[in-house]
Amino acid sequence: MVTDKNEMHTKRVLEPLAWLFQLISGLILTVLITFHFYETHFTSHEAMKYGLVVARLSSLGYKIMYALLLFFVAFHAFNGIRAILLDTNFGAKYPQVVNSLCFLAFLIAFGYGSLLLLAF
Amino acid sequence: MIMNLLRWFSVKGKSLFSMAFSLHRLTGVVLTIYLCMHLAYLTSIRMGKEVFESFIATTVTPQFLVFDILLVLAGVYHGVNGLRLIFHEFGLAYENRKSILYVSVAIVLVVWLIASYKMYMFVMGV
Repeated sequence: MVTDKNEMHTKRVLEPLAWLFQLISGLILTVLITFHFYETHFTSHEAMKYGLVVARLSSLGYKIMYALLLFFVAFHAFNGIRAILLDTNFGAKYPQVVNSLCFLAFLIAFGYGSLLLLAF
Repeated sequence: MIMNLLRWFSVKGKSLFSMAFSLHRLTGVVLTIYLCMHLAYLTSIRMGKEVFESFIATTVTPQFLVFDILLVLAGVYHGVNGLRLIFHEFGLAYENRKSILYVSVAIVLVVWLIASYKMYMFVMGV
């Protein structure tokens, strides 16, 4: 069920599984980003100091949390961009180009961020 | 394609739900651009303490606070409106969708104001 026919665009252009995963990743991100934002901006004035950032990146628990955050945010972002592009005339004409470019962008973002996590 | 995108900014003849949807997409694009910038600037951690802290000293400033506050508005809106969409997607409270839209806008404003105040205190070192 949707609220308005314009809100159907995203659901209409995405495959059912991609749409479902967009919803699930959105729910997970609400929790993870709130935690990330709270930790870096609300807890202490020192939270952005180099030593504390490196300590967080070196901890296994944070590594897992950041890896999940990175995966879901990269997926959600580029799957969303894919939906927007598929909703244009260009996307309707060349869906495979849009799908490939967005998948590549997801891989680059996830790979690049993962390298940073592995460095600590 | 550009004309399609420009239609998002058109208000004439649009329902509140359509405008909420356009804003959802617009904030999504803004947040994706920020994600790329965020990943790029995190590279400075690998360059050592001096590079990272000089970067932080440049970006965590009162001058940048305006952009940060607007970014938080985009993030909070996208999150809360996304939850509203998921709520209705599962058929929940569909008959009250207009009231829920108003409530979600109110939640966005309250959360944004609190977050902005906290960030102001954080940046000012209060």
